Amino acid sequence: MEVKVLEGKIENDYKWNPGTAVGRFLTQMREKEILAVRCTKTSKVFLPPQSWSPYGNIKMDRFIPITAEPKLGAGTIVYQAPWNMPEDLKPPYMLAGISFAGADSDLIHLVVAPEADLKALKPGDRLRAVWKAETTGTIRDILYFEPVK
Amino acid sequence: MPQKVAITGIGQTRTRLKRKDVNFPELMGEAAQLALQDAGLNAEDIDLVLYGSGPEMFEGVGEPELWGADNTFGVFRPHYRIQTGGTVGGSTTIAGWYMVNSGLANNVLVVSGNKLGESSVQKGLSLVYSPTMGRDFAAGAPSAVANQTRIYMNKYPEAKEEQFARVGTMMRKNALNNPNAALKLPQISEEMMMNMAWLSTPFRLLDSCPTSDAACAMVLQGEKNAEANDRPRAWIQAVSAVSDGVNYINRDWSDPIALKKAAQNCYKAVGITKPLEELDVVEIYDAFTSQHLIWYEGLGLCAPGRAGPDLIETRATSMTGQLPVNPSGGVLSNNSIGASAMIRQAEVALQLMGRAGDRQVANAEVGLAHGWGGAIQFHVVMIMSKEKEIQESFRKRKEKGR
Repeated sequence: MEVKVLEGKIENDYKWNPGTAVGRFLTQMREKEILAVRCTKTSKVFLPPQSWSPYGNIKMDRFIPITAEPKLGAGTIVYQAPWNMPEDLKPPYMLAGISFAGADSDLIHLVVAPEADLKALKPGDRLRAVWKAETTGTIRDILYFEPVK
Repeated sequence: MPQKVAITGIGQTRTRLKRKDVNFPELMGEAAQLALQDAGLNAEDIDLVLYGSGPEMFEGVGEPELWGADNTFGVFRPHYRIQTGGTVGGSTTIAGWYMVNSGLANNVLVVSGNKLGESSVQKGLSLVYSPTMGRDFAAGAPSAVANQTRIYMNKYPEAKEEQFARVGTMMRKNALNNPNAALKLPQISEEMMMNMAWLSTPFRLLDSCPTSDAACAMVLQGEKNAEANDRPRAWIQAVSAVSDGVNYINRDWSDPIALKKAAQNCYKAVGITKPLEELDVVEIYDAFTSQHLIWYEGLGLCAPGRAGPDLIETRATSMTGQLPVNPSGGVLSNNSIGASAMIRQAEVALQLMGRAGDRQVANAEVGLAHGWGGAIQFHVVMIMSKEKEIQESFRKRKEKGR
């Protein structure tokens, strides 16, 4: 039979540098604190923080803790499990922009709740962060957000 | 010296969801060879080759231009790779336009494609996300656009899922007239669209594009060479590529700022003020049905939020409507990522040349092609006309009507 397909697999180990701003953010996540950064030229607050303001074209290092209650910006209920879905999740769950007063951008994260509750969620609804018991400095130190009833 | 640029050759691969008969360089070569033949040129006529493809993960080859140069006339001449995600096919043509418009080259071959059938597309796409901030839960392309769509629907309650079903059905019906469309669903209906299982709300399964193996190529010639060539041609009148950042500060995701800027740059260059009336045909990058609503608004075809009720419910963008959009069936009927934005340009060029077969729009004089890529932030727009001077095309169109 003719050779039609060669099977293959690519695996590689990486050690990613998170960058200066996200590095600070992740370090504070370990302390269960959410960190943003302010562009001193435009007064915009970036969450997650980044080191360069593309609007002010300046370096940003004015970090500020975000303490406001999280609220739903907008979200999509995911029904088809993506290949990389974390093991602790099961569809349907929500991939959402999470808004915090004081930050000018939404943090992309997860909202987990029974399907009926997810369907009932509206922009501006209150949420609560569910933190991992033992934080390690990753975005999933917040496991997910859940609706506040 | 700056010079006008014409498309004088077009090649599209015989498209299937999977092309099991060829490898990736052969697929790219098939398009390149068809385009060269279509332009009536030989390999030695080509000054340089631009080779576009999307993320390397799709084919699992780190330097695809190295693997593909032999098949695409890249030997013994400059051969560059372009990569801008979904827009890459459009960006590759625009890069070719810069080369010829500047006068530094006169005959350029542009080729772009991907062979998505060789790996898991969603795996490849999720590697586009930052490894530190979101890859753990990035659910491929559908959820980013689903979120954008949700924001649009929150802002404009007149946007409805029924409109997605209508435009999705319209595209799959258009695809039946296009021999190059990969997904053919003769039984498609709005009811069928609305009864599909959820993908990621507000999208059901058929609100999304298929994945395919495809390549597209075009020959671009400077005005002197194009006019000396007796093959049909379409003239490129304006190009614009605009990017936006990824961290959308105070950004309304449903407001396609980069697309608005790209479209306005092109309209300004050619003097278009009422695109809905002044364009004859448009091809947009519609990987998802709702993008018809958002991109129509970005292209200035309607007032904010009015695409659904004013253009889709009324079927204004169907083949028999005021401004046909995607007579080809669009990306919703064929998406290889790498070829998709160039196919938009090629399809508009075919329309202007009068070579679009069963999907031909009558009297097409001026057309626009769009490409989208990145998360929601890369946009390319190109305006083409049948006549060398676009004013002549506008005048002829007025005379003949549509």
